[in-house]
Amino acid sequence: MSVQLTLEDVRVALGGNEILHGVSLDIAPGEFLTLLGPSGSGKTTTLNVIAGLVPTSGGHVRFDQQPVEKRPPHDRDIGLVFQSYALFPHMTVGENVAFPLLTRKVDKAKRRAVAEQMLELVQLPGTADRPVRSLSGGQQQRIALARALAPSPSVLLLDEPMAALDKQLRETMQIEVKRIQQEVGVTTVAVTHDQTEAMTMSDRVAIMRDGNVEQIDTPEALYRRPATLFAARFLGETNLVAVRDGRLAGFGTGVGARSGTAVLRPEDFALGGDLPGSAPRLSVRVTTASFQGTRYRLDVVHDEVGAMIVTLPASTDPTTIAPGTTIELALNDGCDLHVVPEDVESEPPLVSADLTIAA
Amino acid sequence: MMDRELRDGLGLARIPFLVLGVVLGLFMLVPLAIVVPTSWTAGQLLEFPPKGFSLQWYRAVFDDDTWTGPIMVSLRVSLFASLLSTVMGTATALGMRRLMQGRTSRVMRSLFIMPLAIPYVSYALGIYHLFLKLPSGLADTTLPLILAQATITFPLVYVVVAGALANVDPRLSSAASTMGARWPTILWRIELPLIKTAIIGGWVFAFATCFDEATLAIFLSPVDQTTLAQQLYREASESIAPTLSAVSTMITMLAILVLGIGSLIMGRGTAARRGGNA
Repeated sequence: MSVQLTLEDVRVALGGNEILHGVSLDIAPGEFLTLLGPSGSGKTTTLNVIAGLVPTSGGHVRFDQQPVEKRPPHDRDIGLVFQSYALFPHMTVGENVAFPLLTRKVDKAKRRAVAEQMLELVQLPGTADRPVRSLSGGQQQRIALARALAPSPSVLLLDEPMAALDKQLRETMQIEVKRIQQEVGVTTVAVTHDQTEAMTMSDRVAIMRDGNVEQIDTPEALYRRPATLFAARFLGETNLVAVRDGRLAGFGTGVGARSGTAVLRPEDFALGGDLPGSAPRLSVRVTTASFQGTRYRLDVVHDEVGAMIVTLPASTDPTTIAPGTTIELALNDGCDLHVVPEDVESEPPLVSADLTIAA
Repeated sequence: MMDRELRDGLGLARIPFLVLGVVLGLFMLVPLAIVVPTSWTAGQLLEFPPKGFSLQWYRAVFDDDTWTGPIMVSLRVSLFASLLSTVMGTATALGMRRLMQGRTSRVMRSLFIMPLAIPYVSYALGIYHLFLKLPSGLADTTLPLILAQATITFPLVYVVVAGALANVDPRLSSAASTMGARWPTILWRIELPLIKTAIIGGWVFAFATCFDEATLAIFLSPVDQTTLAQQLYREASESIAPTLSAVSTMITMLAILVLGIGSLIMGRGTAARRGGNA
């Protein structure tokens, strides 16, 4: 049931505008890949290309090496969960879930049995005879998932599956979707603009930007070693610090690369006094400090580096980090300094923009 | 909440609206209240108030083939014409949604609604001359009348069905296609069931319009096949007999019955779709 899904230099042009400029993805059987990007980055278009709802103008979509880009949606053996769920309002829950089996000419008794089994899988057993309107948003989403999975499709596609849910339900459902996907073992592609959702559910995340795949990797690798500044900024909070002549601005420490931008995460810092003198350090002024339960979050300013975001352990003495005070920050021992080389991206780094604001 | 604000916002201006409503209602009901009793008369003249009570004029209608003939013709013509316009109107609404977008769609929509604006008399005259060119075997049937009535009721069905379709999420069709459904399945299992009540409503509307229509019938019905509305005109211009009242009353009852059944079906459709929370 799980297939290898390959996109090869896929291009899409709509009304004279090219909106996908050669997207290539290689998704292993049973893998959960999330397309993450801002609106207009082409992530939903990519999903619709896999589904066959948007025609390609070039490149190939392959299921287990078989090109499918010319096949209509009904001939692709996919399951798609729409952002709006698109449940059929004139059918019961059971009829909805059994619909993909009806189109595949499965007999009635078997349809009923599979529908029950799918409703069990999404933890809504016994709802088959209820009208879909009687269900809550979270339940409707489970039904949409059950319906997409009912025919055991080759590929499961999820279009912003959590967008219509409130925050708490969203977190529960992310875990739930991941559990179901692992239980079924179907190759899955999801689309989201929510980075937490992407990291929670996926084996790998593809960051998309302006119709291209910017970077594709595991959530850990994307967070720790972003290939571009866009990727660095899109996933989590980031301090981008310039590297000139092999030295890290502000800290003065030598780093591997000649020039570029170092990606420092808020949790890479500690108070200077807590670390041995050899650790790279700099003095900053605190502008705001807020307690967030598990940690303190600080906005700090350094004359050369500009504004930065730092998190410190919840056990920190609040008087030492009061707004207005100057503190010494050091880089944690364990943090491996990741530098995005200069030539990767031409746009000016965020740091310089912040400097003008601070000035 | 909103309704209440709107209502209270009108303030004293509500009174003229109320008066207007009552006047309109009376204007509709008073003529009926006169026609219906005159058909009960036991006398020989069409008069109000009626003399006594009898159903003799109803018996007269059913005994007389100058009336029973046209009733059958009207039922047959209206049925075929309304079915034709229902099929065409529904197909057009579905087709427009799939194929047309943007400006082309707006221009096409105006074209489809145009038959509503054409004066029936000039349209009937044109069709009449058109069918004179056809072999008389065709022109002597009710076919020209059926086609013409289907044409003028087509926009009614189109407007009702297209309105219902606008409330159907187009993604439902895409969703069905990702589930392996080809277009006939999407049409029969998704689209038609979702607009079923509108189609029935459009058909009832079209049937009632055809049944009531006299202008086209006067020009287009063959000599030996008169429709009921046409016969009413003809009789009314010659004599005022209580049979006219009896026929009018029956037409009114039929209209109320058909529209009543129609709205019952449509109401049940809506209730079924909303019924989830009950």
